[in-house]
Amino acid sequence: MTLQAKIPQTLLQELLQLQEEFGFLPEAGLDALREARLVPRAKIEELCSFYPHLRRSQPPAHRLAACRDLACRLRDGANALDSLKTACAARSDRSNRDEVEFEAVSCLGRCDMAPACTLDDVPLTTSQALVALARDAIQPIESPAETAPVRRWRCDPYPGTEQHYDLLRQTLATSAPSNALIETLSQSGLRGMGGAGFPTGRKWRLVADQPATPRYIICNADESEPGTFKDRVLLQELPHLVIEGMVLAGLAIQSHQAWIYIRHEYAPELEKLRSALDDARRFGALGENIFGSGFDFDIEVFVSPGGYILGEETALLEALEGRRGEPRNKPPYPGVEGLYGKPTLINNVETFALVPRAIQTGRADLKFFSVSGDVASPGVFEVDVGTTLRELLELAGGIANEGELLAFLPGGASTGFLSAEHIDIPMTFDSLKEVGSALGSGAVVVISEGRDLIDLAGNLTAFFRNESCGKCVPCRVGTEKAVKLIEIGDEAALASIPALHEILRETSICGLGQAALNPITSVLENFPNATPAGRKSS
Amino acid sequence: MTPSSLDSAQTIALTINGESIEVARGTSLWDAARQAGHAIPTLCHDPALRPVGVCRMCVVEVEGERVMTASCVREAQANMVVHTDSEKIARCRVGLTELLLSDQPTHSAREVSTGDDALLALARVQDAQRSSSSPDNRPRDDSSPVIAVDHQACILCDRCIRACNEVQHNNVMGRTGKGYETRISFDFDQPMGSSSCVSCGECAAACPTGALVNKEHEDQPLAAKPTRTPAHELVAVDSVCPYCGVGCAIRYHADPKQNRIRFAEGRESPGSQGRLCVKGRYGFDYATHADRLTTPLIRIDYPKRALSAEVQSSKRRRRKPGGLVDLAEVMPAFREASWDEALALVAERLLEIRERHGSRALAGFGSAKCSNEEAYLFQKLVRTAFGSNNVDHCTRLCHASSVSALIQMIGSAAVTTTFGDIENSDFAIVAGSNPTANHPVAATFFKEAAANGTKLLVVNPHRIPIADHAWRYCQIRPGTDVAFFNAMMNVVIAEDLIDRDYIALHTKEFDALAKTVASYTPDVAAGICGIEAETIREVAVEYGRARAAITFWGMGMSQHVHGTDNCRCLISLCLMTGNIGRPGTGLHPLRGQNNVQGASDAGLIPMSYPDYQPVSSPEARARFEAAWQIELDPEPGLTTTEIVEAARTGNVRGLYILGENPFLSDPNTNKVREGLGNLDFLVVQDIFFTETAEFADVILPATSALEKTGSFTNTDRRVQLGQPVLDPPGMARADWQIICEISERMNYPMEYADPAEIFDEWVSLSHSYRGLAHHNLGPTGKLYPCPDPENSDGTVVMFGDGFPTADGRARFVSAEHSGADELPDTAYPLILVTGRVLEHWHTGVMTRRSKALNAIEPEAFVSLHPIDAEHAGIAEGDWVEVRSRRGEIRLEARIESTTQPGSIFIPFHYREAAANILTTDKLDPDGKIPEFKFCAVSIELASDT
Repeated sequence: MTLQAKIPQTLLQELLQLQEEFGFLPEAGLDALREARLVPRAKIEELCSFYPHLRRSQPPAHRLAACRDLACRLRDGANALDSLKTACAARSDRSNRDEVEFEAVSCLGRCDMAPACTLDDVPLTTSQALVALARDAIQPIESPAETAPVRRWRCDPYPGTEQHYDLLRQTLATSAPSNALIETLSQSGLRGMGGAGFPTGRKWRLVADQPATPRYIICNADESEPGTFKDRVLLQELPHLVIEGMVLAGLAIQSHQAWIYIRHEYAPELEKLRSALDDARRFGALGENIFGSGFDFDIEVFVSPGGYILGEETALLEALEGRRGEPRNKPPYPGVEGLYGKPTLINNVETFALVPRAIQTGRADLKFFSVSGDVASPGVFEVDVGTTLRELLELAGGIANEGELLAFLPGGASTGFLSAEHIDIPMTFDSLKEVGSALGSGAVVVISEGRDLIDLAGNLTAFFRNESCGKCVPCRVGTEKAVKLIEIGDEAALASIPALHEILRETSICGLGQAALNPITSVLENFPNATPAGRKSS
Repeated sequence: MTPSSLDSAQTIALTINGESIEVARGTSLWDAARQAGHAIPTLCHDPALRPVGVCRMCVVEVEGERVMTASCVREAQANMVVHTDSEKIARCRVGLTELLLSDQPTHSAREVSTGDDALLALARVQDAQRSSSSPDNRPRDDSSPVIAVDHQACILCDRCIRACNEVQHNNVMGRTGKGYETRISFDFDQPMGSSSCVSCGECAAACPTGALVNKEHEDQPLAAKPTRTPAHELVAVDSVCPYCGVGCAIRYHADPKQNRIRFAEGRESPGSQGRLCVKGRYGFDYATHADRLTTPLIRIDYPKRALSAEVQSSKRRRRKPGGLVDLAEVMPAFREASWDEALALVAERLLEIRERHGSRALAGFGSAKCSNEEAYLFQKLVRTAFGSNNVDHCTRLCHASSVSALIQMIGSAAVTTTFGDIENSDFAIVAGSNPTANHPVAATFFKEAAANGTKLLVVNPHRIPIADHAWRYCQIRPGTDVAFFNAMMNVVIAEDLIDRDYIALHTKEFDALAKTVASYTPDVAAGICGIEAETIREVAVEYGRARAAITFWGMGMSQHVHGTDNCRCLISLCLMTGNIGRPGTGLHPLRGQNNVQGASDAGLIPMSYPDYQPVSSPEARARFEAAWQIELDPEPGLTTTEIVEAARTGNVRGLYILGENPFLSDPNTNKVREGLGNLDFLVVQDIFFTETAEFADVILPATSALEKTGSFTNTDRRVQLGQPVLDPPGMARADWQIICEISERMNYPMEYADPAEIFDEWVSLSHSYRGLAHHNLGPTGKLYPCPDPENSDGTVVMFGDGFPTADGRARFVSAEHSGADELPDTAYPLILVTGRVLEHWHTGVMTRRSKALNAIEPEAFVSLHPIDAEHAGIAEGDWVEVRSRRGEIRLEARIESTTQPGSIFIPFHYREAAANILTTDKLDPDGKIPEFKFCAVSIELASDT
């Protein structure tokens, strides 16, 4: 079987190439593109204005992007933003030109380096960036080498690179692997790690059972929710497991073409991933006739032009198809009608990375957490399923500055704040659901006593407002109104939040709008003392 | 399969608000609820548009689902249990309305224009409250002459964007930005007025708020806003657009107190499907322009001469903004008169000429802008009271050659199928036609078909906008159509893609044609037409393989000295592949004027009585002599161009011109000036003082299409009824009444109670229109032939089984490539192509008096290619002089790469730079049509500007 005919380049891809070539989209280039493709100007405008990575004017020589979101805010992020902004302005003043552009951006996925930023796409801590900005010439800064020793991860069954893809090789050697693979996966109990926790085996079965072909596979590596960075570490350290999981999925659902959709802020990881893909192809684990089995499967990397909403799987599909990344109305779900209307299996990085172990051992007993915020040592931790928050806190070195736990987000910005009384809750899909929360993306953000939860919830609400695609009314208008109400912050303003929350939750097209007011609503519900009224009465 | 199981395969049962209902599979919950009697509110949904589900107003609850779902985008599934009106749903809907209201401007611009602000209407029903008014901080955009944009009022419902992109296929609109900052935008987020917007107004019609509203655009401001007639007191009149041959169904909303049309909107019809273009939607205010003729005028200034500088001579041209006839300059030559005096004078003078010089010294120009009834009466007047067949109209200037080719080859000149039938075609030829300008609403269906996969082959010397939607665009050299299409036939035959069965069964003389085209190999044709041989082969093979191919053409084919040959080639190509008589196939010469089809059908042509019954046929003559009770001239009469020539030579001495403006529309203006000036007596009947009227002895004020009842036949053969919307100004009278008055005074009384009676008389003499009467045309008309109008919309596809020829067969007629009449040379190195622009109509008499249309295209211009511009040292906006052997004009230069190098384009609407001063009056030998699409000119910077 040969690989599918290549899908023609989309307008978005051509714009991205133009951007790549010139660093912006020159007018002449757009005109040439427009004439060559006979594409209306309005279509180009729609894309250019939607994706932050695309720009119409020539940028200054350097660009500093600093995170304005929760995990960084908890580590003096507001001051970091100020000092970086000042440093950039000073730099431009000194050189008498717009030398460094400063932009406050949404979560960069570097919460373990908080307060984090990037200088010319190189991730840095704020202090590293300030040093770089103070130098005479802003040199292309060398990537901070991974100084930490390469970790051993329990989910990696291979002692060394030469054993990589052994499971795939064995699986291909057995006959009729498709059903058996899905069966084993179903039995393992592996669930989707992107947030919803849908049983992975069931999803694969659903796509495999679709009569339509070709079927496609997408690995969603667009994690962008404040506090979430586990996939980044997996891509950096275990790319071969992600790739193997994807090829196994291809085998299981008889797909031959896959994409890894990765956020553009993950430049170093992207490099690592690309070299892992090259390795896999060289190894014979990817491409035509994998390990001589006659099975073809290839993976393309698509670098997201930016925006948290692209992590929403149908928004991601829209972007891949070259349109504005606005979520689709569902159903139909991607498994039935996905990319170009074809059945499409979309799983998260972590899910694919856990597939080899799940198939090999029949167990889905591990979970990755990103722990950030008020902890001594933020980072990504691989733990047994069922580990409690208390245990996670210990792994992260405890509460920073020996403070007390006030609250935590168990699974990212959209899951809502839980109070310290839940410190011994097992961090699983089911037990968190029982207390009205969710495991989400496994992004644990820890909040210590003394923090202003209304302020933090306001910060998260602003994040959702900033990242709303604007397609549907409740999310587009409602998130803006909510931010304004929280800014006002008096009793009357906050009292109108629950009704607004109901509208957003019930009527928004996608999860962003549906969950956007979870943080503020959870504070109002679970932390009466955090409100002006509560403060007054206490 | 039993009937019941068949049913259950096609329908599903679900529960809505506790009641079980069966709906067709694929029905949306929104539609299912409506069928069950539960109307669900919505702002973004319009059943005519693709649902997008963004306003969320139509949310419903489906049991077992986590959150609500938008019913407009949700397909009903078997056994669903749906609630559409729970308290929670009501709460959410009111909440959504209030969210939107909080950003709305204090006053809705829509409430004072079309009066249909859907958001405010919904808010009133829901009793939704405006919580706090945000400052109006989003921009307004007043740059468009016809539409006001207020981003503050925009709710991003996407309706305008879908209307622009998916209804009109103009692709101008989109969204810019993201999240709360998202706005609708035009092109690269330009002001609407400087974008590529063509002002069709579909967006404003689709908008549910005050974000996109029609601007007020009457020349005379109406009463100040506070006393304006409220929208709900306007009177809606269903009629048909008075402009082009597409004949869009239109609804006017008129203010009866002020005798003004406030706005127009598209109306559902099988043809136009609710769409309009800029002329239809915004060009109606000409009718209430202050320049309207309101009283009969009798000339007092003799000896006769042209009155205005523009009409007097092409030498006396001055640079000034373009514009209308200056009444102060022309009116002193006339005095006002009563109808009786004027009519008596007309009859007296015409009778006198008939007496002295014979019937054939009289002639009449009717108009394709008048109704069928008026066309029928006018030709009857000329044939009876005047006593000659010297009656013609502007069909001579547009599709006369198409008609002669069609009659010769297939025995019928009307289209064989509708423009909308393109949806059934997998291949479509658009040759020598610029439909986005000249048939804008038909063009939307071409673009739609192209978007749905129909392969569009556009053949045109100039890269017209429809080319952007083409599968292949062939930029042939001007005047080389015969070579190109002969080569296509050559390939179709060589590749054995002909339909042998069809040829054998329904045609004759194929072999002679095959012999002729045998020498037109793609390589030979490439040398003539400039299209690569490989491309000719490719398009021919694709055409030959098409399951159903349709052919459209326009003036680019017909207006040549070899116009009939051009059309013959298209017809032959179509016949040899059997692409006629089936859905999605056929021949469609796109008719220009709103009633050029009907006027020809009604006999407003010199060689035929109504329904193309030849004057030369003794049987036909006998039939009409019996019907009209008078002896008729057995000789066919003169055509338009021949009448002008006969006026020059003194063979025609009296002329009655009804609604035409030959001074600007006919070729070689110098000759027209001579002809008109040489007449003993000229009566001009019109709604405005035209250039032609400067030569009149009597001017009669007529009514516009907006002031009278009458039927019009569009390019599709659809016969539709126009209805009066306004009262006529002053003493203006309906044309049919004036004709009757003159006829009576010329001793041939014609008495009709109303236009319906005239229609009946005409139909009784026209087999094609049998069965039709005013009372059975219905709101959207009928496609003739329609023998059973009570039960049928009429005939879409003609000639499924043979042709209306003596032997029922179509006849192949071959054509050889021949050059244009006047080829470029060193003195006149460029080719002039004339034509129209979207905003203007013919000689501009109506459109230049529409505030909106005139604002968009106020001035004459010449379009030339950058290469030619550079060669002549001309820059954009320069004032240039264009010369031909016949005269010169001065106008502004537009440099456009869409024009073919070596060829320039000038629209002929502008009196101050009349393109026909330059054109040649050489005629096609069969169709007698002039070569408006080809003459040799030079261009240079104007010396004194």
